[in-house]
Amino acid sequence: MKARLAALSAEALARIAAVEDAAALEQVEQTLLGRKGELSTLMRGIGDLPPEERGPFGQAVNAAKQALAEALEERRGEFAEVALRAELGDVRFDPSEPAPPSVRGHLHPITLVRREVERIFTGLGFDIEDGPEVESEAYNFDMLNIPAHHPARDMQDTFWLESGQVLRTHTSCVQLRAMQEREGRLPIRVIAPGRVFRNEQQDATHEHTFHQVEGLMIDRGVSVADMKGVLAMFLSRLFGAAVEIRLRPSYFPFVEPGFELDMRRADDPGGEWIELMGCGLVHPHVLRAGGVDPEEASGFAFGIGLDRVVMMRYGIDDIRWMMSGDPRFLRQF
Amino acid sequence: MYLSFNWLADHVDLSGLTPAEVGEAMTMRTALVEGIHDQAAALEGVMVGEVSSCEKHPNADTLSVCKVAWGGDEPARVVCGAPNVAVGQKIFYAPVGTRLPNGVKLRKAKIRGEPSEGMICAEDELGLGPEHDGILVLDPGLAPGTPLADVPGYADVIFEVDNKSVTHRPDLWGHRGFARELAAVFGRELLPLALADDLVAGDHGPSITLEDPAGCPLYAGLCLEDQPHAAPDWMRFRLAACGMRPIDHLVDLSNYVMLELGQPTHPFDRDLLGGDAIVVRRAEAGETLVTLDDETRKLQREDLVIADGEQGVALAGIMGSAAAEVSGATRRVFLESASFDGPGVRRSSSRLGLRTEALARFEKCLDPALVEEAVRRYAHLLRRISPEARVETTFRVAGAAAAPETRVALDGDMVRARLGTDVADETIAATLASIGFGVTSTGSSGFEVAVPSWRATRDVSIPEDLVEEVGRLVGYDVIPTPDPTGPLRLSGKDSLAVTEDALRDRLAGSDAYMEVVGYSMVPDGVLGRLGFPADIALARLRNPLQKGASALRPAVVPGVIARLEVWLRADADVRVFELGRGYHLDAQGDVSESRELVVLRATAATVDSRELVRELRGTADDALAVLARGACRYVTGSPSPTEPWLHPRRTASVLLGDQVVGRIGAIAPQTLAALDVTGQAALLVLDLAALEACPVVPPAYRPVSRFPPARMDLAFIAPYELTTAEIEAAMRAGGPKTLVEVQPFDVYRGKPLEETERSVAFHLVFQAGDRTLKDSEVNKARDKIVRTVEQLGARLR
Repeated sequence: MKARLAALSAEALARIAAVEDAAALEQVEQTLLGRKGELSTLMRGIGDLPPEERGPFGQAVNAAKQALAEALEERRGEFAEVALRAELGDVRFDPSEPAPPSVRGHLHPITLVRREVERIFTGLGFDIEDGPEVESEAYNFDMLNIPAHHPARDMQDTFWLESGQVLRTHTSCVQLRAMQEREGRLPIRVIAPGRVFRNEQQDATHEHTFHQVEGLMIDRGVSVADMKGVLAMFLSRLFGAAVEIRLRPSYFPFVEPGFELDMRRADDPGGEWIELMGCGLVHPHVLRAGGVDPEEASGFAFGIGLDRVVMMRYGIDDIRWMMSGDPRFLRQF
Repeated sequence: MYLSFNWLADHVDLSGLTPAEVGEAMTMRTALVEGIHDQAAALEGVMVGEVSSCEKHPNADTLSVCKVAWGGDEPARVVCGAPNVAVGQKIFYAPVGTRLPNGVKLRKAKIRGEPSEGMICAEDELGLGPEHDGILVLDPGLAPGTPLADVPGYADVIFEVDNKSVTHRPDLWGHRGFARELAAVFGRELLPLALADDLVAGDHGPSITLEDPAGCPLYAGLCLEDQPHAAPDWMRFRLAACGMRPIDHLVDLSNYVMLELGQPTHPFDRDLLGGDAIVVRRAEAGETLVTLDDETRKLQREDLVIADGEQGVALAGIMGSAAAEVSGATRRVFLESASFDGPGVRRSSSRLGLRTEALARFEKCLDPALVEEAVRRYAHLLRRISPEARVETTFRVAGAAAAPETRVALDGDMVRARLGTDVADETIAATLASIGFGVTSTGSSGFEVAVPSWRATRDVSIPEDLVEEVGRLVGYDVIPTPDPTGPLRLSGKDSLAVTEDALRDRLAGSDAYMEVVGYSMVPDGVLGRLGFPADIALARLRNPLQKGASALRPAVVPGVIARLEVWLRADADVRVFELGRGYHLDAQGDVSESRELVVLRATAATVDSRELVRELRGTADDALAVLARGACRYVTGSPSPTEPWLHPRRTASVLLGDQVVGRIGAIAPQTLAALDVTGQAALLVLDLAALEACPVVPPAYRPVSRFPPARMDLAFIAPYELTTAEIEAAMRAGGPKTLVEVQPFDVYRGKPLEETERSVAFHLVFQAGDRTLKDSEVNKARDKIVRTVEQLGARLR
């Protein structure tokens, strides 16, 4: 038995030494040390020995087991080392192999830009208001200093409802609602994003349904300079670069004086001026209609087209994409 | 509106200023110039030539072969088709290589076998006028080779002014008004206007009766004798450049005076005026008038008519009629110049859908002082261009009108406060004076400002109007751009808008939905196809862009699902949402709005629509969880008639507490068929106002246990009448306190189960806060839960 043990140990050590990879080593370990392994089989023969030999033989088997375990461990370590080195040296890698499709949704670009506008004005202490899309003639026109039979009504082609109401042609109606809601409490600082409508045929630059953000700031002593300050800050943040602005005289019945605001990047002093929005000091008739005393307070208002900003920002060439619902367009945002 | 640089220069000295500078000044100080068209630049290369020989073309009767001396060594050989070409004429010669305004680039050519190098030009070929009957014949004193740009009276620079920006300015509808502005801006003199000052008001000519002094308070009529002929080229070219077609000198002069002063006039053939009388009156019931455009207009009482002794001859302030039109046979003319009520003529024009250049001016409320000025200007110009004309030196004037005498008290401090910059009192006074305001100091920065008649009809009446005058003329660029200041205050946001944005983030985030924005209008055809009840009154447009598209959407759904087929063609899986408004007629007939979220889930695959609804339900759970309005429930219920697109048996109400906040369900098979869709689709609709009315329930914190949980899955086979929600509720009710979570997670339908039942699997978690649960405890609880559920009619799978 002892001789068999010695032979077995020697042969086992030789097999361990000869193994070439970790899997084979595992195999060898099973055949040697497993429950049905060769050493266990040998150990089971211990009962055949005379009692006095059983002790020493058992110890010898254990010693052999120990030696084999150590040899196995050593080889395992070697293989692990080799595997590690192999993995660290493996150059078979391509980061641009196709990924499984990502799952994400898309917000409409109008939403993205609207939120940016909101974030900027929230930082300046402006409230974000909302108003109805179906308006009365009074809110859309009369109280905004656009009386019936005034040529200014032609400036906006209007959708009239059978009810005598209109689809609002601008978000300026929210100026009145915001003033009235606050019952003359100052300061009033409000922006109102929303959908507006014009009864005109569609083409690449005209939509009958589009989006505006109205702005209104009223307090004691608010001036054109204050307006320029707020709008320059707003536009610089919105376009991500300091901008230069200029005002041109223009006519909107609900402001006096009224302006068209042009913008260009401050780092491009020779650049083209881009016409961006209408603005002005709120007309005293409008202040009164909103319950604000024009002797006490003054303010400015502006209206900017969101679709236009979206188009500028992303270089979109046709406004009709906005309402198209076309996934090829919407997935890009 | 178009303005001619040369014409402006007749009224104000523009020497030393380029058209670009003048255009910039108009844009920055007065009104937007949208474009500047330099005719000379467009005609580069065209020069004066002399026809040195002219022979008949050998192969064509109507053509000539000419030699044109143009200052070079060799005269050019040009084939010309004009009947009026003759030796010795000075003409405009366009050599080979010239690009004409119509885009044609001239090349060497052979015309009927004869070589031709360039062209002898007619006015239309140069883009100067409409005539094509003959070539332009120039002043014989011009030297060949002189560029067209250097020949006075031909090439002009034309400004295109944005009409909208002068809606409020009756004084800016002619060259004179802009000249006045430019004089102020550049500090130059407004040149005097030459008028026939010898004319005096008297009683020569047809009698004039004003029956409606409110509609027409002032009417002047001048009689003259002349034969129509072509106006001189310079006048015809100015008219053409400003968008008016030259006709004959009598009509052209009327248009010329209008484009110059802003006051429309109208020449009648006096011999065609019945009864030698003019009556300005309201139209009679049923009266019709054939206007110059050959349309028969049905008039109403509100329309103002110019009539002779027998019939209507013009629609006041809008358009003349054919009845007394000036023609080639005209020998005696009656020229009308009048003041009409702006809103009145505008009303008629809107109703009749007839807008003209005259109306565009009258509706702005013109200065009545222009009425006589226009007569005198017409007479002056007529004598200049038609020496044969005989102008009566007395003209009739009926009625009287003047712009209101408006005086505005202006405070210099108020001007400074509004503009936000320091403008000295003297500057304020000088600036206002420069454009015709009368300024009187009333002490300590106070002024009394008299508004000139041409600004007083409607435009300027309050101090704010004067702030604008000062600001724009001083230049808005002097106003600083300070950082914003104001009291600190928290920003608020409309709560519905907050909810909408939270839903957007949720849906476009982990739920991977795509936001769309759709129109508020919905074609009747779409509603019909979807089975929307025809007897429900919809909010409708009175003036839709297209016939059949007058309805406003009664809900957001139709517009969304109408696109389903297109979306499914692009993608096998559709996940789309829209936040928008529905429009409803209330009991009073007014239109009100609802705010809705519509989520559409669809697939081209053949699936059980219940599976799609189940998936969408998960999305609904998520979205509502974000809003923290408490636990939501889904209760089976039939769709209402206004939701014909929902499946009658696979639709449920979404409830928060007892409040119905929306609907979820499969799209009905007949709707899918109507939409030409193969596949399945499900809808979630939330009513945001109802949702918003539910109180916010912040999530309750449960202490985290240090002891391990015991988990198990149980599946029950249950008939459809027994809902998952009921089983779940029974489990919670029948389970011990240590049952901390019940989560249904899977459904199985199909063999070997009956078709009336399905299996639902639940994940259960038991956990105590103070100890590790024993197996026996958990098993006992499990048995009790199973018994409880089985009593409801389910069996453990």
